[in-house]
Amino acid sequence: MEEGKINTSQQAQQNSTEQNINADDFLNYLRQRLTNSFDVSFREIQTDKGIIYAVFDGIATDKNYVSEFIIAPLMKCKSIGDDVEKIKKEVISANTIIDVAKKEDGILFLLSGCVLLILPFFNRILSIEAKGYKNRNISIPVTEAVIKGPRQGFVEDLATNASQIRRIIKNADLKFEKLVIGNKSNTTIAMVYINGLAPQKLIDQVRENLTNFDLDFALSSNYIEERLKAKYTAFDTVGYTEKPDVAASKIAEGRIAILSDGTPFVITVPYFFAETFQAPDDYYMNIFFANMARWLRYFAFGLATLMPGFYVALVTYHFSLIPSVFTFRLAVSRAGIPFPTIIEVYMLYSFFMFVREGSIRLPQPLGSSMSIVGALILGDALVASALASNVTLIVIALSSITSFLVPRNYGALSIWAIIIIFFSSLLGLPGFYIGFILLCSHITGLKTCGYPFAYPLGTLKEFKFRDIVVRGRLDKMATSVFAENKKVKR
Amino acid sequence: MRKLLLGVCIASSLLLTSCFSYKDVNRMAFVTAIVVDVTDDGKPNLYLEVFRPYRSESDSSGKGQRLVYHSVGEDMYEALRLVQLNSSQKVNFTQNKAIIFTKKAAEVGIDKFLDMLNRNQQFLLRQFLYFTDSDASKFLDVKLNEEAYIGLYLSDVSIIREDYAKVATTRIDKYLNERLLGNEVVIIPNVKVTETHFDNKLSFSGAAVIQKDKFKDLISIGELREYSIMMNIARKGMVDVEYQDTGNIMGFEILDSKADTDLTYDGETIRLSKKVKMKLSFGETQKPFDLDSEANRTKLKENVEKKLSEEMYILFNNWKEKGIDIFEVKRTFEREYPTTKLDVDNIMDITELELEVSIEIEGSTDVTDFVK
Repeated sequence: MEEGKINTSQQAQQNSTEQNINADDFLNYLRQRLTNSFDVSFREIQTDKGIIYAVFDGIATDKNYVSEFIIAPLMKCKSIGDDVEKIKKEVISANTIIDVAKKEDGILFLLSGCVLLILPFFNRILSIEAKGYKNRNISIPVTEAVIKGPRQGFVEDLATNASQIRRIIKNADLKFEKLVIGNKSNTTIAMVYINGLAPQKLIDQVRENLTNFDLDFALSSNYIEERLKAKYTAFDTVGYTEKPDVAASKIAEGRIAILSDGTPFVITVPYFFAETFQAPDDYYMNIFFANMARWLRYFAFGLATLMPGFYVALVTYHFSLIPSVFTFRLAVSRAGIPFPTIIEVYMLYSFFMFVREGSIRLPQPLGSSMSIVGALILGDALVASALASNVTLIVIALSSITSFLVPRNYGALSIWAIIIIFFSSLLGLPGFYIGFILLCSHITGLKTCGYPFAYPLGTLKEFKFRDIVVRGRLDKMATSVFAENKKVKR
Repeated sequence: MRKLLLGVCIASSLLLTSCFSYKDVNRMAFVTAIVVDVTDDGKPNLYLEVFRPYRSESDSSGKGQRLVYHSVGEDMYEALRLVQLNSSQKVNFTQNKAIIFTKKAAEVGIDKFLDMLNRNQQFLLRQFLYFTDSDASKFLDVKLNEEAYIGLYLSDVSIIREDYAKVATTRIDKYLNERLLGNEVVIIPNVKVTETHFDNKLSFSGAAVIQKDKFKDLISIGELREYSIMMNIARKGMVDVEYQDTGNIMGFEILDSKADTDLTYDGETIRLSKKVKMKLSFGETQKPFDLDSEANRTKLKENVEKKLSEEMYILFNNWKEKGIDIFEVKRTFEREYPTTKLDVDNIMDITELELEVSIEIEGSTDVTDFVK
């Protein structure tokens, strides 16, 4: 992994040459700090100079590697010489060997899967990388299924994820800047970008944001997401993906990807509103069908957010805008229902959300049963028991189904649909328009890493990027999302 | 700023509810047709056809019920308000499709009822106006097999049919405009209750001529054809002509019709020029007829042109004698000569019709000989 400007490993290495610690003291320190840690082993190796202590985490390291390339060479070595340099250069066969000078660094190396060699007779401590976590195999991503296109997904191991991106973009300018966040969890993350393509101010801003992140435990990538995203909004202003090809394409467009150790989701910033409607399949399928599918998503977004509110406005204020025959049908379908339309709409909306939440949280076999029960209750029993009308049911069901077409913003859609329903119930169509305008101004007012969330829509500059409402031809689309079209005179 | 904006939005939502308020669609009784009659002492006498939703007790489904409400008031406003007393649900007029004036009401004057229909925002501009000389109470008693609601039936006929029934179609917005133009003449369809062996039906039977908001006379269904051709509103229809007194009646379908109107005034006489061009399709003949003959076809064309011209002259002279300007002469004159003042009581007295009818008859094909 390429070393960035701010790199904790590098810092530790620099520190180690500046100050030394007593090896015996450090050994005692380790024994004391790691009491009751069954996974930590203290192995004594007899050499001609004396005992070398090999301290390692049996879970985090590859035991075979430790035995074969670190312990065995030491045991076989008849003379380890008068200097630690012989051990580093001639005895140990491992890739990375670092001098440890600070106790805290030593602990961090140890818990990160390194073997600490404590050499009391030289008063030196060496950290030898021998990581050997058990990793999940690369599998098909669950959240981003594609009909056509790569099947590989990210896994929890940062190095594996980095290698998957590197495999797609073999470019010397592709940088992997390593950072450590979480004062106590010491989680390794990596900022990935293409030097010269990603705007420098974006790189600086993200780096500064992450290095100043004062947090004890960074348990998942969502901690970083929340750090980078706009506050007070239900819209995701930070993207995430489980697919290396998607992450690579975002990086190629000038964005920054952030890999986090222990999380199969890679964050991409900045994340624009138009990206909500893009799907991996768009770039692997026929352009016409891909565009039609994208328009369908835009339409679905409109339906999911606006249709319930529009329905409430029409059936509670503006009968005159509905064709007579349909008005009568509506009236008949609602006849006998004890609640006002607004209560009926909110009730049905809640039911759908219950079913959705239940289906997601339950184990898969039970989840499908839940769906069937929910569909039966909502689809049949509710109407039969005169608690809801079938027209309202269809409107809410359609709104819910269409919201699944834009899963990235499902939460935001639901919340804004509820807000617009509320305004519509108070004022009819003027209320609906107020809600709609609030939604538009909210979306356009959001920022994602310093860029407008609606970018490049509504910006005064003309951009070369041709992947918003329709996908351009792949060979004609601008590489960078930030590339301006300088030929256009305004 | 955002808080202020949010405050304005919420406050406006709560406070600016002036013209309308929340109402559930199932708690409304929707009026579909209003028959406007008058009592002997001239008070508005209204019959309303109403759709009312209700939930069936036998099963869980909802149903619609057709009701007829009746009310009499000092004026239209009161009569409509009193209708509410008959209903458990709020009466709503947004779905009203037809306003039918009885002959009695039209003779008293439509203007007496018009203000309410114009002013109340529940009465929309898409309502159609009709005239009937049938009894008001019987009108809404007619049970139609095609459509349960007479209001919907009438509006469907007015919208869908393209023949003479369409000619006199008048929506309330058109009426409100035309009642103020020219000689203030408007024609509205005449709908009458027809008793058959099986049941009662509603049928379109010509049109009523309303001048200065009062009923004047009826235009027969036969006259409507010529009228629609002259006024350039005929799009579909048929023409029957007897060929050379042979007893052979031939039928033609009107494919297209265009009438150019020109009006000139020489200080004494107004010359209303109508140049009619029609395209007809040969429909049927009662006796064998040689269409291959060029002479026959020419004769046939002349026959049709002559018959149409005669009927149009008769129509014009008939209404000229009645002194009613159904041909929009005054309106055209005011448009052509906006500064000229006429010194006559009735413009029809000095109006002469100049007619030029030219037709083209088509068969299903022009090819008469496939072998050359």
